Amino acid sequence: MANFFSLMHNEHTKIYKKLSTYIMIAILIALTIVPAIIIKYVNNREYGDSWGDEQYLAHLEQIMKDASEEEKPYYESEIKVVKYNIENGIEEGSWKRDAVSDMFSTFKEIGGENQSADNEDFTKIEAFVKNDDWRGYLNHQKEGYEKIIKESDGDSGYELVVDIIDMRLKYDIRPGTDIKSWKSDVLFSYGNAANDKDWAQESLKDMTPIEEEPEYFEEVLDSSNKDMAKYRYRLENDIKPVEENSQWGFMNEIIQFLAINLIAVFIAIIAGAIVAGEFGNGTIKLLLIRPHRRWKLLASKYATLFVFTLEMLAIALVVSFVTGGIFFGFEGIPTFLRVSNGAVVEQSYLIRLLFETALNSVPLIITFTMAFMISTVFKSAGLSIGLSLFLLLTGPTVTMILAELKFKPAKYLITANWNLVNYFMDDISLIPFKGMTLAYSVVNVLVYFIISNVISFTIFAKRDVAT
Amino acid sequence: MSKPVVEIRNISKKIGKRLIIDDLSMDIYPGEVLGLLGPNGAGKTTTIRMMLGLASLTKGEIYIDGYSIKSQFTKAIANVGGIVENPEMYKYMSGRDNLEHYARMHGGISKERFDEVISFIGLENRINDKVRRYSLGMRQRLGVAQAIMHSPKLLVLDEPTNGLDPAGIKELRDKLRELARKENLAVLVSSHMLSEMELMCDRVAIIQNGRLIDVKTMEELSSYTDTDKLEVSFEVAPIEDAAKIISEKTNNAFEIVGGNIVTMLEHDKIPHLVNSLVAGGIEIYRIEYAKKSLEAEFLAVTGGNIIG
Repeated sequence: MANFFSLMHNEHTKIYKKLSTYIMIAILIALTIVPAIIIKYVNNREYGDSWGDEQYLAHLEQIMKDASEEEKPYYESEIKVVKYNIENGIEEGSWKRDAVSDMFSTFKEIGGENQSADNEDFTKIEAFVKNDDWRGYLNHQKEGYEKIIKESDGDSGYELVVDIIDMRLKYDIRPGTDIKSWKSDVLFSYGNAANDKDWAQESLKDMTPIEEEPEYFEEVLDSSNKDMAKYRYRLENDIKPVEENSQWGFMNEIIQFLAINLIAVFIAIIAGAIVAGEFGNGTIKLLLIRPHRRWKLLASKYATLFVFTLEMLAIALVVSFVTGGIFFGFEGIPTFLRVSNGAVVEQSYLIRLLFETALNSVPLIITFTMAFMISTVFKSAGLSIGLSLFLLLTGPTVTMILAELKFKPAKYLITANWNLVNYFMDDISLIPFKGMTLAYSVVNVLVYFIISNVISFTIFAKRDVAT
Repeated sequence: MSKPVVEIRNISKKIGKRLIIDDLSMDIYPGEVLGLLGPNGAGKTTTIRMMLGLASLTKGEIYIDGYSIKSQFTKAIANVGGIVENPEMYKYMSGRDNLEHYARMHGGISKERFDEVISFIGLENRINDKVRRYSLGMRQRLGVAQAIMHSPKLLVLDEPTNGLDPAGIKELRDKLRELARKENLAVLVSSHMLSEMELMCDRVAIIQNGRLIDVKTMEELSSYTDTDKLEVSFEVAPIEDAAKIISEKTNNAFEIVGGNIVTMLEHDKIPHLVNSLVAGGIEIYRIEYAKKSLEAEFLAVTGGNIIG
């Protein structure tokens, strides 16, 4: 066993004596740091020029001149709204703007009836605005909606709006886009998810079996339910979601989407050369005339690929941790939520990150295993790098197309199964074919893995080596 | 006779339908340098590859220090060092790095041994330079180092002098003979350079078409038997009188070439002729005959360069 580690020591040293290895590491580090700069810069920019109030007012008054009799009342009330906002210094994005529009509305939302503002309502709402009493305003709105719900007997479509108002009141979430708060964002997402859920439910109910397939809507329904549960849990337990421009959010983005793919390319290059290179160089002869069985020599090379992958991942983790901390502030380990057996479960974000990294490494491992196999069988580094990277880069797209076309035999392909992480993402739309389970995919991956290595080791052991 | 280091027993190798090595058997003893000779395509390199585990044996066995290359590979090969053509090294590493790399594969090579080997090959001053900066001669020396580092009992060299200049060739030859003597190594050399083989080898094995034709010692190859006919050249005066005596005493034809008389004569008849010339008052300045050459022997035994 000790001599096996000596062999790995040799292989490892050979990798780190090459300049190309250090170039790869430098690229990895650079591509970990640069996104941080980009994200930070993008977030600090001011967004667009919206029309200032005065300009809008002038525009409206201009239109008024040419407006028809029917249109005039609308524009009149609109002008009143804008003037009121200007006079009272009500900022854009504030919840008060909605209230002010409400105050001056001539068209009540329901049924488009042409009603002039109720004097009572006007005073009431104005009081809310002047006192900055958003809760009061919300309760006022709620009353109105509850009336409609009672009258419409179940199918009003306003249940969600009331639900959201209740959540605002319960979790102390001020409406309006002028103040950024994570709770408000979560609530917004909740609302979207709820809409999706309702839409999916409606579609499933109305759907004719012949025309469409239910799977898509079932997927949306499932995801929406899970998301809604998670959002509620966050608001209830005060768990801030991890954003891209936070230290840990940045780390996760970098590792799962950039580092893994970049390292896959690098390791494919090394795997392609590690055997073929010895043949091309002529050093294979000197390696074989040593007191080691052939399979051990090959195994030491293969094992070193794993070691190198781990080293690269460690570099990515450390550099992204430090970069994320410098650019977005160092913070403690946040909480990750997932849905398990219908209940929301908490998990350490670090554990989750490592878990996802490990699973995302599966395509990487299969890629370098195949590169290694082609390298051993054909003794060509170029061919093995080319083919394995082709598989890595086009595999996902091809699988997706075949999934769309519902080409069932495609579920035997390695590219349909190697994304084991998809079984843990609370999103069943990520599974390419219905009925695929984690166990099935694991077996599929193992089969390819074993066959690939059997080929490599058998050919290498039996082959005659020319001088 | 000590026990052989290498015992090759009836090895054969078939590739497809062709039998490229046919029932070859040979022994190699410690302390000797054995040359492997043969025309192109004879099977020298294949035999060597089979000994080193680089090619499989269709039939037969090879034992190195008593261990079978087929069933006890690691034990057998632990006693072998190889220099196969120009030994390739990892060019992006230094000479030292390369040697450490191979040393690690043997385990138990002491620092003293390591330094000893480096000074034996004379590369102390350049050992830390990257191999891409080495000349061919330096790489060859490094090749010798990786082959002897683990104190093997057998050294196998396949065309080791490829690309070396005369100084390099002489150096290699001297080092190999030194190793064979000092460490009682058995050395197997396969080469085309007949002149080199003549200077280096104790015994020569001649191979043709995958078969072992003959094994002779250099002694046997370079000395004449009594009945061997030689081309003898006499520098004598007066030539015409000498010519007369020669044609009388022998029945051989002769010719006069550049002031010398040249004739074919059996080895054991030379003294008699000389006596006759002296008796006839001829002045003898020089008697000369060409040394038996390995080349001549080789071509005679193999009948020229017939492949297949």
